[in-house]
Amino acid sequence: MAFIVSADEIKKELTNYSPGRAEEFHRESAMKADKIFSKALKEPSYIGVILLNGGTASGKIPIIYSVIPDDLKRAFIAFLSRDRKFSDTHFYKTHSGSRRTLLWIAKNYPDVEINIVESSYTLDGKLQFSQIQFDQKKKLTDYLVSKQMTANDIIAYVSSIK
Amino acid sequence: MEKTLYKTNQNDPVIRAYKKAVEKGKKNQHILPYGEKWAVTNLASDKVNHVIFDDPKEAIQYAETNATSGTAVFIHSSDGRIKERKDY
Repeated sequence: MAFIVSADEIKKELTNYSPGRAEEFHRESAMKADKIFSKALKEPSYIGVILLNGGTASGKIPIIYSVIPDDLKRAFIAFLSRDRKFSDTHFYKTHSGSRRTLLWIAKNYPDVEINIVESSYTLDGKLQFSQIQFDQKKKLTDYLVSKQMTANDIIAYVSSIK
Repeated sequence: MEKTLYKTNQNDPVIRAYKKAVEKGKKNQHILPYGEKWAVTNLASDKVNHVIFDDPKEAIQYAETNATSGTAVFIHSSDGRIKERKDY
């Protein structure tokens, strides 16, 4: 499950907090949120960590940009050849987990703006990025459903021979 | 489903690093289960380039013999996961 860190929720736990004095507690709650967010990122049981900078009431709506490769096998080839080294398990977990988290956010937080950017290669070897437009929230959700892959699905896909 | 294409600077260091990793990765060899047999392939989906062996040891030997400097040989287990990486 994804872990959500909200500075507004943290404020409510601070000593002497009252909604009328919310501004006075903003700096302290934001600092605490940053610390909790950093700690949560290191927690392996969370598939995703979201830092909310404010609720809809404050006019600040979280925006997510997510890059999804058009060819997962190419992404795997690049992953294995980067200077920074991770085990292949990291690839399977992050690519399945991020897709699952995005779908979960889309279903549970309809106010969060999710932008899907597809990375692809042109025939002449240029890497390009295109934002996919969805005129309805349902189409975005349907798209995210269609992109769901478990870690085992990804293993089977990247290790298949055509 | 409409798409809006972003302008991408192909000389951006991040883009260049990614493209370099793809090109480098295509030179690596993977020993993968292939039915009851084993295949040596570069994994690149745009090019069918694999050699089939009955015995995984023969596949490893073939890949090691053909490995060039700066490339890697990835030995996968029967479930597809990588169990060993050899850098050359």
